[in-house]
Amino acid sequence: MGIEMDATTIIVRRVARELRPNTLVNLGIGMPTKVTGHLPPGVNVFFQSENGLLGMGPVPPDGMEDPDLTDAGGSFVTALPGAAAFDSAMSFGLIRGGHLDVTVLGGLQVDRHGRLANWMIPGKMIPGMGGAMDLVSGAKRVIVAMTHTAKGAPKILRKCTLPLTSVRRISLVVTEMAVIGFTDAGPELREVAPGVSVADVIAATEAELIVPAEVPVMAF
Amino acid sequence: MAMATDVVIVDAEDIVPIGVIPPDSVRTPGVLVDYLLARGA
Repeated sequence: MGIEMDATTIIVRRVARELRPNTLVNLGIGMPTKVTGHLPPGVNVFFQSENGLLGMGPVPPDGMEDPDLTDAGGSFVTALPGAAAFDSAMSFGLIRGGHLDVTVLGGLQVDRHGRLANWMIPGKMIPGMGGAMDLVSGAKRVIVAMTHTAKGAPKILRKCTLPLTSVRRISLVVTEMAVIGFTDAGPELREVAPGVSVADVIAATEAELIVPAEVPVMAF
Repeated sequence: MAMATDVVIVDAEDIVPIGVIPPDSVRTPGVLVDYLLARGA
């Protein structure tokens, strides 16, 4: 492939390949917002920002920021032609009402049932759960983009130790090491990152993975 | 109403180019619309 990719780049590039044209996508703050920079050419996706914007565009050039136009994290954004602006009730109506095709969120932990913990660490200051619970409950497809481990400790566990965001099973976890899908039978290793072996992934994952005979390498 | 139904069909008096309708004026975002009736020009 010829390009050196760091963990974040691997994750967001692989997540971008999950997006389909003409779908409504909500990206969580942090790493997920970087997905917009890696959309395959010709894939037109409508991005929603839950503070009330549909048709969110890229970061404005310096000097062109509009103080009234930000994403849910407060970062300046633009609105594409045809964008719609509305209040929180409508925005979360879209989310909770099942009108959102995909959400991409960060994760602290995911358990073997595909349950996500990403909203607080007890004892530490938290900014609030934001829209995470609504997004995980309402989006048709939930993709978690996160590093595979934190300070060496696995984040894909048998059971989460942190408070859960939702009990609804998420669809997919994409890390810098692997793509893992969640099924009735449990977490399934779907792909490994270039240069990563199946054994590496198993060693870095506390939950027991279902490993098919052939595990392809991530393609970008 | 568009939020509550499975199929949404819009019959508009005028179909205008994308960007003509200001964001704050959009009452039903396009993502909720399945079909748009095109009247003869």
